[in-house]
Amino acid sequence: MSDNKDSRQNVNEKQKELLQNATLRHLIKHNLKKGQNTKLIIVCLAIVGSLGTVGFFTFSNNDVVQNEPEHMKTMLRVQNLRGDTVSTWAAWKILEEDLFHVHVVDSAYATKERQDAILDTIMSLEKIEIDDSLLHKGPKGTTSTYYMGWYGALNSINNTTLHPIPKNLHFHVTDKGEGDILIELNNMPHPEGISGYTTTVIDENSHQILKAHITIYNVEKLSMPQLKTIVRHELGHGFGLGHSTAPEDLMAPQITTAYPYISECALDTIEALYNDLGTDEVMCKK
Amino acid sequence: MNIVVFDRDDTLSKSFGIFLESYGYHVMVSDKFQTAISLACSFKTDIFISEYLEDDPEFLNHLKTIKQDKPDLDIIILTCSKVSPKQIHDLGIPMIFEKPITPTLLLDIISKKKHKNSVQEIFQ
Repeated sequence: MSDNKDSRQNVNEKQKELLQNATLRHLIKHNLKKGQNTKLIIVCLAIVGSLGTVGFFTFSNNDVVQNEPEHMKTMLRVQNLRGDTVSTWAAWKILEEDLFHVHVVDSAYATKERQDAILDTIMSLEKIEIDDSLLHKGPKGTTSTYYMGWYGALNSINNTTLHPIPKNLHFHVTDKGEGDILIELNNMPHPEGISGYTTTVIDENSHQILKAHITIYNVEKLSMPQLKTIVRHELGHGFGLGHSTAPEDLMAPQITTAYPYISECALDTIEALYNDLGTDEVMCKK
Repeated sequence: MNIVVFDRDDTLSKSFGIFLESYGYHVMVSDKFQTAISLACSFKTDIFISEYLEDDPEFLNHLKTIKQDKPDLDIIILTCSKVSPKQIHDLGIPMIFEKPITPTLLLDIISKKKHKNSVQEIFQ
């Protein structure tokens, strides 16, 4: 009996090793860029370890309308391959000229209207000025800039960072599962009522994100503004952001803001992450 | 495509999950058989990958029930033991593999299913 158990454990260990090596080979092949391959292969294969960052995003009010207060509960969990909860930070490490692929998985739920909504969340250049007094950030008459799409937001960062921030975003609908950030829409309810779920696989040693996978649940019950808000939030996790302690921010765990857009605070955090400051905690200017 | 993976070894079921998710599949994992069955039956599931529970006399009955409830669900059994597959075959489950299964073989099986070919074609 004991022999059987030992034998089972040995076989399982062998199976894990095969799966982990295959996963790393796949991620390296699809995500690492020229000039980084050799270094990361050594690091990855030496430790055969990766981490998954899991971000959850939940609607507690399914009938919210944009520009009316939204009450959305979010949860962020960072875990390693063994399921241990860990606390760490990570950023993409790509070359400046590289295209950064944000893809949507082709399915019956990825309708043209939803694709357009997601595309807008990714590629929009639109920005708005909001009075700071509305978000308890400053006196009436002072304003802050907010971005509707990540392309506009990330390209507003003019400072050079240690690791290039992904700015050349590329949107594509795919049926193969490739892409740096992959967005999948389905109509299943999550058992915990979660609407959006991001899994980010990272290399723990180099604090490098290898792949992010976003799943949007119950998509047919979401309005387009809700879908945009969820995707905008989850993409923040995809680029490396955790949750904000500012309750009025898009990346807050409990979103109560009527303006679920990308804030200057989120961009300051992105800048810090890509400067390898060793933390994802940034004190916002406002 | 939605896949449920069950293995009593928690890290192994998670390894399967991360591997398959890196290829774009949506995966739910559990180290408890009852929970995995519940997931497979509660959600639209295309493939159920399960460890063979050689010491559970009710295992085959559970498989039988799942096949009755969800005849379209493809079940893949992974085993560490030299189990006679006949009883499982008799339930209409032709896919029984000894661990460790090669990841590329597993992807082949799932990919065939995704492209609407019968997974049985590969093994007949």
